[in-house]
Amino acid sequence: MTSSPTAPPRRRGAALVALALLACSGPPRAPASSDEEAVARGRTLASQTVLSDEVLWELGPAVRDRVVAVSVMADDPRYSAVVDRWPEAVPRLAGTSEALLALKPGYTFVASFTSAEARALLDRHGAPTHVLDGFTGFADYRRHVGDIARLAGAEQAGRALVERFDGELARLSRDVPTPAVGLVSYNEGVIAGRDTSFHDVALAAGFRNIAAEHEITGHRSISDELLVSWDPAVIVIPCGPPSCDASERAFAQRPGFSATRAAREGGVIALPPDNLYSVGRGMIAAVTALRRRHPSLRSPAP
Amino acid sequence: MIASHHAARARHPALGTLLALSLLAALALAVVVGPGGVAPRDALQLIARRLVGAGPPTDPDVALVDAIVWSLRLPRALLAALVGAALGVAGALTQGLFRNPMAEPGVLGVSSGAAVAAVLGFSLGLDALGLWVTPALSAVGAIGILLALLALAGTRHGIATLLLAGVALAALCSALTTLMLALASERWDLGLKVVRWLMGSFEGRSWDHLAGALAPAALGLLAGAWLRRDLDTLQLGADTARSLGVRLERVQLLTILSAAILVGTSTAVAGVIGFVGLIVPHVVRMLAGPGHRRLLPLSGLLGASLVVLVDTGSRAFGDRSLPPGVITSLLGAPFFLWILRRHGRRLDHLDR
Repeated sequence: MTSSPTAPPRRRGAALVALALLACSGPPRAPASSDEEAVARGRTLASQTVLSDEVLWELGPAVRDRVVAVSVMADDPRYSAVVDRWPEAVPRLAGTSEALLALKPGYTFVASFTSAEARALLDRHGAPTHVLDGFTGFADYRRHVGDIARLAGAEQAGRALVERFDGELARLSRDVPTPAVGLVSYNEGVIAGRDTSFHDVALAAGFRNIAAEHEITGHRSISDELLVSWDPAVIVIPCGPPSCDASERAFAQRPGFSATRAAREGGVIALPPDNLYSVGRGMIAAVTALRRRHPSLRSPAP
Repeated sequence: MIASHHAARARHPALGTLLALSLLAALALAVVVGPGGVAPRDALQLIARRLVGAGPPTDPDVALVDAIVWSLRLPRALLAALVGAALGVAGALTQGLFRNPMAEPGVLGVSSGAAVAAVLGFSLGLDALGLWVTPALSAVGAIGILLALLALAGTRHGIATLLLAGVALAALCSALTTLMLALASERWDLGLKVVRWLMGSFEGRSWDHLAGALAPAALGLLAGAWLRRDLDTLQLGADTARSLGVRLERVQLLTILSAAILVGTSTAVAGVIGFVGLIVPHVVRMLAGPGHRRLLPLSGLLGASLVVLVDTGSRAFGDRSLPPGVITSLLGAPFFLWILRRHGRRLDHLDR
């Protein structure tokens, strides 16, 4: 394919054009027919997102055996639901395209925030990528599971995974506590509004997301004063060291926040970050934890 | 030249009064403006009530308003004033020491040292141990860089060595900060914390922050004021100053210490607030002349007013929280260019 040093200029030019065309071609189209599914079942896979680390594991042993790399966050308890599950033989790669190229994966799952240069480099060298974009709640989770399963040739396992997710959600949605209580999430001044996984989690657990009611979409930095003035009944924060209980106590004593209903009435709830920020099955754990702490379930004061 | 300095001196008492009143007005504005929707009259009444010794209200609704005004707005405004004053005076001291109007406190590397220690704390998760941890680590970082600066350039070497050592240490600290961020690039929560801190903010600052900053800032301000005569003499040149009895090494050391304490304290409690230390002394020099007896207190007053107004402005528009450090740079850079264009020749003359 490459031209030799002695090739005549015209042949060299043609080779360069062919190379350029090859470089400009996008990733292979998603398989649709059963033949293509069979091809997909033979492909090696690499994951560069924490969600695909999780989904590829959940799709079962047949898929796991073909995974040649997972993301460097796969063992990070702050984000990952599959800590220490992937065998040590599967390398944890931090998005370095050179190391990924050396593994020659049949498909690499990357995120929309993976650097464009790294994605283009993988594509140009025949290592097609699938970009997971949008991590805004339950619907995106279902879509990503479907895409990953299809590209891994495990559509049935993917459907089963989504059904299990929806079944657990349906079970949790039964007897949702009423009335819906207002809550906000808070981390370093950033709150979650509509179109976030937290928004879906909050609604499924029987809460109202106050940030969404104030027309906030996505994650946004707001002033402490504004949040305090909303006087939420529940404030959800990430657990920090040394424990979730200590985080709740420390937050409830913060200047300004200590006067809110949440701080006065035990409504500061610290969730493990891998649940609070999950865009995968950790969302179910977050719904479960929030439902368990719903203010309507507190025993009335004597 | 002499006539203009006399005119500036004559304006000084009125200018001092005007700037002091401006600061009071800015502080009053800061406690009545904010996204919390508290009526200005209620805010002032609550503060008056607290000032006469009343405790927190028992009614939960009033307690919430009290928390917004007394626990969030007032300490934040006072801290902004302290930080602005510290940066303004630190700027005047640094420009006086280096006899260079382009010098700003950052050239000593102290704020970069404070930043690298704070980022290290964030990386190790130490900030979760308490609100005091990040300011304490920043203070340690600032002191560490100051000691390194003194060890490298001390008083045995000239001003140029000091300046270059400060620039090199600042570059080293910036590189270390970037390295820590690069090594943890997949930790988005760490990136969020670091970026927010590096942008400078008074969000969530409390009476504890103010109490922690008050003593070192006062020490730095007093030490700066004590140096005013020697800094004036230093403007005549090192040899002349020495012949007039100025102990150059001692002045150099004390000026560095004062500026470093002021900048280190500011960075520790509010992160990096840019441009105040550069622009405020310039404005004061144009209004009141180059003498440090006037320059230092007036830079403190103007710096305090400026930072309080910027922080109030950052809270006044919409529900987004804007970092004041970004606003000071956005306002300061064009203003500085305007001053250079309008008064460049006069500044050259003053700095000679």
